[in-house]
Amino acid sequence: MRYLRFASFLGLFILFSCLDEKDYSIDSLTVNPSIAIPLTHGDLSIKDLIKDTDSVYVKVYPDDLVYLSYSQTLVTEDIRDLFTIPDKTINQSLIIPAGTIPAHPNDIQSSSLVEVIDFNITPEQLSEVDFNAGTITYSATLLPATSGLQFEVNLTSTDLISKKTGATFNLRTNATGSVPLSDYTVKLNKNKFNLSMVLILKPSATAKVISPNTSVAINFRMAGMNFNYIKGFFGDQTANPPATTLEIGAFGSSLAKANLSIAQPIVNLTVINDYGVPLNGTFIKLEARKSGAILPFQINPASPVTIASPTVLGNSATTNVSVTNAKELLDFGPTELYYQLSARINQGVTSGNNFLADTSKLKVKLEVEVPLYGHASAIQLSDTIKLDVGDIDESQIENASLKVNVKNELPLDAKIQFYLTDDKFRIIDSLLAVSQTSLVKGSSVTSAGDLQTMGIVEEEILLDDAKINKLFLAKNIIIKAQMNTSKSSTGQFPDVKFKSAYKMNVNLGLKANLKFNVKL
Amino acid sequence: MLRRITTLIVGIILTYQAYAQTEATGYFMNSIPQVTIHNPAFVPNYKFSVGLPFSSMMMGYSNNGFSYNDLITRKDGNVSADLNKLVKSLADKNYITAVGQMDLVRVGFKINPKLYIQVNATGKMYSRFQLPKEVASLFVEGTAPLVGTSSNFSPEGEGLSYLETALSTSYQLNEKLTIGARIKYLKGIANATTDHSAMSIAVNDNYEITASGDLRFNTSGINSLGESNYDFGKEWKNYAKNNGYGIDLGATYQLMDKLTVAASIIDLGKISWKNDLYSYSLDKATANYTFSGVDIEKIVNGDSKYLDAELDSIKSKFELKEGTIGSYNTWLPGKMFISGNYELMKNLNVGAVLFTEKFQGRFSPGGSASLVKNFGKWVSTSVSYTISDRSFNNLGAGISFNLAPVQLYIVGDNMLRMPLSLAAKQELNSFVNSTQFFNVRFGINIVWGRSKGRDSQINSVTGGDKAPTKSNSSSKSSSVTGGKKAPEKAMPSYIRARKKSR
Repeated sequence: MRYLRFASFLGLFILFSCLDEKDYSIDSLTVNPSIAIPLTHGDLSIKDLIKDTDSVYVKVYPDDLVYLSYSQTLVTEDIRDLFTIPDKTINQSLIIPAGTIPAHPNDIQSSSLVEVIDFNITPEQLSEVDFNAGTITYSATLLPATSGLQFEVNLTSTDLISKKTGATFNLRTNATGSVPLSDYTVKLNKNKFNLSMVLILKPSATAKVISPNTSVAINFRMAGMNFNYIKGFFGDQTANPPATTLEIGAFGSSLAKANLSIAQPIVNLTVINDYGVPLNGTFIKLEARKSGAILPFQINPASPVTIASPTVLGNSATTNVSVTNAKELLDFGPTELYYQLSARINQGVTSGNNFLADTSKLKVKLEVEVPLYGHASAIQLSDTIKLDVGDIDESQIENASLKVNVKNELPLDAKIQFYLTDDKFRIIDSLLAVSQTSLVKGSSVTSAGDLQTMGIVEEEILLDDAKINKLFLAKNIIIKAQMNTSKSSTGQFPDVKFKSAYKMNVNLGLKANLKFNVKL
Repeated sequence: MLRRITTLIVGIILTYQAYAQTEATGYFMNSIPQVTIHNPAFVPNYKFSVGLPFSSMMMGYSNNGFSYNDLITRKDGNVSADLNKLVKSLADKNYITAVGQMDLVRVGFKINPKLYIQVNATGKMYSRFQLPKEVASLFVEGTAPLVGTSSNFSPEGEGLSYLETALSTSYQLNEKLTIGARIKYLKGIANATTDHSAMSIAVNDNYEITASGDLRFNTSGINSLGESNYDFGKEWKNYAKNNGYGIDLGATYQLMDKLTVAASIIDLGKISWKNDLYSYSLDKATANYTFSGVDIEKIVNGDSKYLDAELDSIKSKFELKEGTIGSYNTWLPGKMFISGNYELMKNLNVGAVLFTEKFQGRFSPGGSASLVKNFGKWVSTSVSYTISDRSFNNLGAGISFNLAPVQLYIVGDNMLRMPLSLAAKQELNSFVNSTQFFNVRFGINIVWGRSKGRDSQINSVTGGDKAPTKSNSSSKSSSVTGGKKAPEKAMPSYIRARKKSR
């Protein structure tokens, strides 16, 4: 048996030793597949083609017409911010005459000292402040300190009223302390209110000798105040809120050079006012903008606009301003709408009962509806893709063709070209011949702009070998599409509708003969 | 008659193409006891033979699709693998088969001149993989040729290993006819078999590619081998559950004094698999997918996870589902031989055999012609030409050194081209590179009692020695075919010559 095994191994050894291994050292692998692969497929609607940003919503009218709804609201508190209540401090001394105070079983009260507290704000003449923040701090100090003399100070104000109890301010103290103001409303007379101070000597069983220059020093301070609301006359003042921009970004920069006609655009400007004060709004800026061009709004009523005010605190008043050149503005193809409002209160008025709340705002709302109904030409889309096929030998593609099958219900023609560029984006060549770029044919429409027949492109586009080989030199590929809405049989651009049900069915495939020669 | 037979043979070969994995050269080598493998009616030259464990080994390879030469091209001293060239050479269904056999023991002896008995225990392995040309074409030639059409294919794989214990008997019914039979008790070891397989790739006019699959293959004794805690020492008894039975049948008939025909059916039987049963399948309800390209809508809308989700979906759809199954049966790779042997002269016979293998619904026929020459009692040789596996360049050879009681032998189809290649080019590359079909059987037997005279050449196709007759010379000169003994005057020249030599 050993011999048999030995013979087996010997046989294998002889077998392998008689083989020239060069035959089995494969230097390269060649394979020439002919591939046909789908590149992309699917249905695109106009909604897919629109760049959805925060300020745009794609909506659909009941008749299925798609429209773009843009909305931007300038919310300003600049008017409310005109009003602040400054800190206020009162220091007063209540004198105790020198001499001897006999023993007394009951309190002895001094006469009342009334202090007028004036907030000294102008031009406002406030009549009421409802606090939501702030603190009263106080102290009562006997100077010099006399042993055994018991006293209190009584601080009162009928203008300062507790919101919880309805009671007026009344405080007795012989030391220091504080009271939160958020519980109080103060009634003012043109920014002023009264504070009464009374010194009280407590009962004593013995006579007390009062040395000269004896007094009780009172410190009363209101600080950190803020309000829920204020009332009174606010004076003639102006607030200048910052400018605001409404981005019209749905089409990006594709409309920059486009000839656009929107059939029935809507632009609404609405001012919503929470302030109970006569208010005039002046549109310092109100214009449509695109790169290198500006088109002003035309509004009715003209600026400055008298803005309605609410009659009751907590309510709002709305003022509608119509834009009379809405179509012109949208046909302009703006990339943004820019506006800035200056708000003036009590213009030319010297008195009044104004009010505002801490939360009061002035809102300027700009709403734009762009129905996709109209016509356009020279719409340009562009995108750049990095290309990195440097590892592939250019001899690997012998020839190639693009299978295009596009069935288009959208009334939109597109010519698409693929530009090959070097690393500095200098164009080396284009992938398609000019005659091959009409890859999307728009549908034809009825006189009402509705779909009549879909546009169909079914063809196999042979790609030029020389152009294909430049793919291997390119570092970037720029895809450019030039689009326009469908033309009529006479070559005119009728108004067309883009409805949500319209689809563009896309099937792209690539057929290529490849030649791989892989060194092993 | 001969013309008709020849026409039939050629017709069968051309109709089916030949790609069997069957030993042909050894078929006529009656000097070795293993000749009975091909026909239980055959009787070896020795009255008593013993094959010790591992004393006979057989290995075979066949590939009806391609040889190494079909893959490579040589240019300027460089070797390049040309896959397109390879695909062009492929058959529609490319069967790559590997077989192996190893005798654990084989004992044969003649009870009397009419009756020969042999017992054996043999380990057998058979594996076959079928690669459809469409699959290779798809990967090498691409999808463009399929545009507007579909390609349906059924890759298959079969693997089978078992232990065969058999009792074989050959009995001479009369002077012309000898019959033989072998009954087998089988113990299956491992199996993998394709239950059904139907794959499809279609490419429509938009180049959308649709793939679908309906596949199931069953296994026994394989799954648990992959388990990390599997202990074969504890589990081996489970392999004894796979019982099977088989039978071989054969006969020889002396048509004329020098012409004997034989026929046999081998490995008619099946194994019932019961151990460690698992199936792996693709459900046609889920295993289908159409790739239409990138969904432009999802890309435009910035669905960045879309492609990953698609890939996960494809993976899920075409992932083989594993599940346990009940017991199942598989047939053995059955074979059938029809042969004729003609005695040209003393110690020189010419023979032809047609064979076919049937396994899992596939017939794989082939044919071979052989010349067998005995150089005295010490050396027996055989050369053959075999058509098999769409391969027409198979020159086989066999030789046995009968150094009784020890016999060494080696025999194989396509073996002769090895030394020819070596002699012509001093290397074996031309042989190896063009080989699609090869098998070899070799080993050592212990033999006694060589049949003398004419018997020793052609017993293999005659069913053994002629039964004793009243003639004293019968045990030495009869022979051949079990046929009627020719009158002394009509004896072939070589017999007469032998008599003269006595």
